[in-house]
Amino acid sequence: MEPDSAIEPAGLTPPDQGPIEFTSREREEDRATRKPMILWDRIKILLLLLVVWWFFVLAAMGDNPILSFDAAFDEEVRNKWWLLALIGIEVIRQTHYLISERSAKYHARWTKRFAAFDERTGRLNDWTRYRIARVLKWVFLFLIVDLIVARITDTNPLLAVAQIPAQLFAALPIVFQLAFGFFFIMLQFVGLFWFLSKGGIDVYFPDDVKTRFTDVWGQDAVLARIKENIVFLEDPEMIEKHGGYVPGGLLLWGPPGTGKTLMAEAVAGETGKPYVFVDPGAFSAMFMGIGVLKVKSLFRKLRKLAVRYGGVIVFFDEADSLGSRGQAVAGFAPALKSAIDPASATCNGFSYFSSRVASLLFQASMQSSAPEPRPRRHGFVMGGMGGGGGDGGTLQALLAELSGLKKPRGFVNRVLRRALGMRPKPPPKYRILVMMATNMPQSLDQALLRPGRIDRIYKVGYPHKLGRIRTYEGYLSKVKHSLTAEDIDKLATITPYATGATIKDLVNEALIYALREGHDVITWADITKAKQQKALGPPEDNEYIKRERHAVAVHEACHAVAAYRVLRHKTIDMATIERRGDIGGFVAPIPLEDRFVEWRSEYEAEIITSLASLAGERLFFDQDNSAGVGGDLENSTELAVIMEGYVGMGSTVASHGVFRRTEVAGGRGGGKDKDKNRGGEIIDHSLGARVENNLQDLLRRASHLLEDNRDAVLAVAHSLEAHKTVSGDDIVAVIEGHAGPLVDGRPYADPDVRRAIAAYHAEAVVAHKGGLPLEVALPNLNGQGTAVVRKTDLPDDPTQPVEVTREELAGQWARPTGNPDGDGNGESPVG
Amino acid sequence: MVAVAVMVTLGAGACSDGKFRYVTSAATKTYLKVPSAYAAFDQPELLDAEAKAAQQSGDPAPSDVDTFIENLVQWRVAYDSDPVPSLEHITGFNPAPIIDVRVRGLLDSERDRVSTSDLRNLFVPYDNLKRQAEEDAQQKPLLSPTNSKDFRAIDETELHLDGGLRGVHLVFEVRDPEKPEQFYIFDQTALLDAKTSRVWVLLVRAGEQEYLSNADTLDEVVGSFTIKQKV
Repeated sequence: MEPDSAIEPAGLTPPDQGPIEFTSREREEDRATRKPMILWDRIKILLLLLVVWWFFVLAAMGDNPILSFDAAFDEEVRNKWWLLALIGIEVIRQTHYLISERSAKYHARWTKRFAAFDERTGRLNDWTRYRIARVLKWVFLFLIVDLIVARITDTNPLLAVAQIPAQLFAALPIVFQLAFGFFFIMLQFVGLFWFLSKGGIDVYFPDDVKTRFTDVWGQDAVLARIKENIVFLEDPEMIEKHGGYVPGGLLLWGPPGTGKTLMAEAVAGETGKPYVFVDPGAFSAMFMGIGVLKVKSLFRKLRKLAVRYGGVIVFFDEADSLGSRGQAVAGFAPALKSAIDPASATCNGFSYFSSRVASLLFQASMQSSAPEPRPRRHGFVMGGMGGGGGDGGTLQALLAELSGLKKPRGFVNRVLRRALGMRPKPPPKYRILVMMATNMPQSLDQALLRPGRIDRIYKVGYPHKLGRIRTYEGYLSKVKHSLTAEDIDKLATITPYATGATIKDLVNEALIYALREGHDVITWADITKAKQQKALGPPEDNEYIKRERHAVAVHEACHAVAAYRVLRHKTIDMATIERRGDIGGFVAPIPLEDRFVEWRSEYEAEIITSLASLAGERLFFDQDNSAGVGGDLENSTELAVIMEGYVGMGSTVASHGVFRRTEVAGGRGGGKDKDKNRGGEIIDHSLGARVENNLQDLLRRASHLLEDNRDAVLAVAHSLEAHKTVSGDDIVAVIEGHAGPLVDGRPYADPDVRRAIAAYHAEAVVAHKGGLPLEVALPNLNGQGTAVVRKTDLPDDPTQPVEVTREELAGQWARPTGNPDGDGNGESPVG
Repeated sequence: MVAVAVMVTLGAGACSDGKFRYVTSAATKTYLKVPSAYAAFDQPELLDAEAKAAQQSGDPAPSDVDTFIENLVQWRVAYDSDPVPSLEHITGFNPAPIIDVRVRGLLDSERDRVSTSDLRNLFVPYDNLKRQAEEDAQQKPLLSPTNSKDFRAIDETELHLDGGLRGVHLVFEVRDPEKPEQFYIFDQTALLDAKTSRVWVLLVRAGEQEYLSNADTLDEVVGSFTIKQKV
């Protein structure tokens, strides 16, 4: 082994033995000779010309049977001399290249000569060179035409120059024919598109529409703003003389039925300007480009009307049909975003953070997968981005028209005046007020919403209580009714999310109920029935078997009693055990006031009310419970998770949603690595454990509550079994033992009745446990209940509520031998 | 390779002497070669010259019928070998060889009655002259030298070509009526197509001496006369 190879460090190479030697490619100007061409480049043109030549020779031989090869060759030499000349030129060119490649001196001489030429032409400015080139091109074209004409007329090219006009004149008929054909085809398309681009746009002139602002109830704030816009449009000088401009566009957005279109209609009625209504479907066309044509024709019409009447209002209903170009508007228009996105509904937005932090928080909130703390009244479904109709270019055309170039228009103005050397007149002030209405503002294009296009964005929300009262009064004033002011106030209270449309519908439905009952005056009962019908839809005619009916009634009664006892911020709207779809029955509490802030005590009360079903079923059915509590548990758990994990209503402060999103402590915010999620499981476990503890506490509280209100539960269950649907006031009447609007609760205070009801329940429990038909009838309330209660089951003291202990019931589990005449349903025991 | 191809191209060109030019009527599918040195006259020139010649010879002005028939002419071309070429050499007589090619459509009436005899008697009353010459020969004493005064038939061949073309090829000698010492030799090929809708005529004419001295060239011209017909 050589000594120096032994000390060579492994893995290193000496500087002069690089991995691969790389030499930079020589620059063209650094070469002394021309860069050698590859053989193919050298011969390709020559080959092509030779092929053409031989083609001509062979074609001549094929054409002429007496032509020998020699003769054909001879002929072609005479006729196609130019081809041979081209071959010669190509040979010379290639020879020149070949010499340039070999001889540096020769190459240098030619390069110098061309450089001199370049320098000479380079002295001309670009415009002159362009003009010279253009002249040369025209001369070349003229020569070609001249040669063709010379060939046609069989004269020499010089004489043919004189023939060109005559030839062109002779060609006129065919030119006309072609032009006619072209225009004929074009006209069909023009006609077709003209017809297709019509429609979907209606113009109303002042006094065509009778609706006034006084017809819009419960949206006073928005209405005041809109009135302002109308005032500016009617008298633009008011703002323009101070250097301002008339706001050109406003967007009304909000849930359906809140009166956006009515407002627009009122605008049409109030204004002295023409009013153009654009149909939502106007821009969705079968062919590409029709939408663009429609937009253009719409704005042509608008400009005409604006100039003629001094202003015009255009209303785009369901503006989301215009579509967007794909981006989430909420990410770009913060004003609208904060208005529509619940995730940003934090105190003060992010205004007390620095802008950078706020931006980070905002981005994070956009990707937030956290559950919404509470369903909100305006919590529509996010998404639908890039939806909507309108073919390609329609939206862009609309954007361009809304704030396009303020350019001179018209043929006379642009072409004729300019031709006469006059400057085109600038366009007049087109005062166009663009109104748009949508219930999906998030699917509008953000460019549409920028100031200059849409200057003002107004939310048309659910009307407030006063607005609702006003609306009820408005619609009720059109019909006969016996409702007092207090009734209407109450009605407004129990219909918190009512809109103009739903109120109108409710009054109409109540009228239908009244007419069905044979009277034309709407009563409170009609209103209540109509409301139930509207809120819940028609019940299914499916009857429960009696045993189950009782179980469902007890379940709902537990909810109702718990709600009455603990829900201080809500009142019971109604309770029902009528089946509708998968729902066996329910209790519907509604808020007493229009409120925006919720409290821990309220959440807890809601959970207790929700868990009352589970607590009650266990209490009344001897620790048994049905699967019907699943939905209640889900809601309770979700609310408990939000309390514990998100809104600081538990034992910890940190927001679980942030853990998930940022994967801090191994949160599960979309991380794919399973190992990473181990930490997340720990967090979930602890959160889950805390939530479970909280729920257990609340379940215990619910259980105690129901134990204390045992009679009330059974009374409400009884009233539910008897009436199927009971209104909130009647439930209170039953619990408190006084007369309600529809149900008299006084008998429930009677101990005999209570005992009878308790006995009935005891029978039902027995039937439930034994899987037997419930043979006793529902007790009536006249103190002589029809319930067949076994003597032994009756307590000694009839004033005391019946208490059937587990032990007592255990002895009665025997199956009855006969089938006494019960209610005649003849239900068979369910296996 | 390219160099070789270029050499072949240019070399092949060099070996062609260019003695003949090839003339073609694509419309009537007629081909022949004529010596390059001969001056060419095209259809309008020839028709004009013939009209003028007819006027000078006392014929009435061309009638509509004449114009109509002129319109039937589908191809007309002529070549004069005289150093001073002239249309009169074609329409009249001149010892220098001329080549005259005519292609004409036939009217329905002509189609019914055209015959080989018409083809023979296109330029001179060939049949009459031939009979006359034969009669003269029979009247002469047997031993006296043949001395045809005005006419001598040299060759007469019936032609039946591919595509149904039929006609006659004549070679004969005629004395110039104005210059008795001058004889002209006519080499006349006349053909009809199978449908008798078109007639082709090739006339090669020269003074006796000139014809004999140019016999090879003129034979080649006549030999090249080709008509392509669908078989």
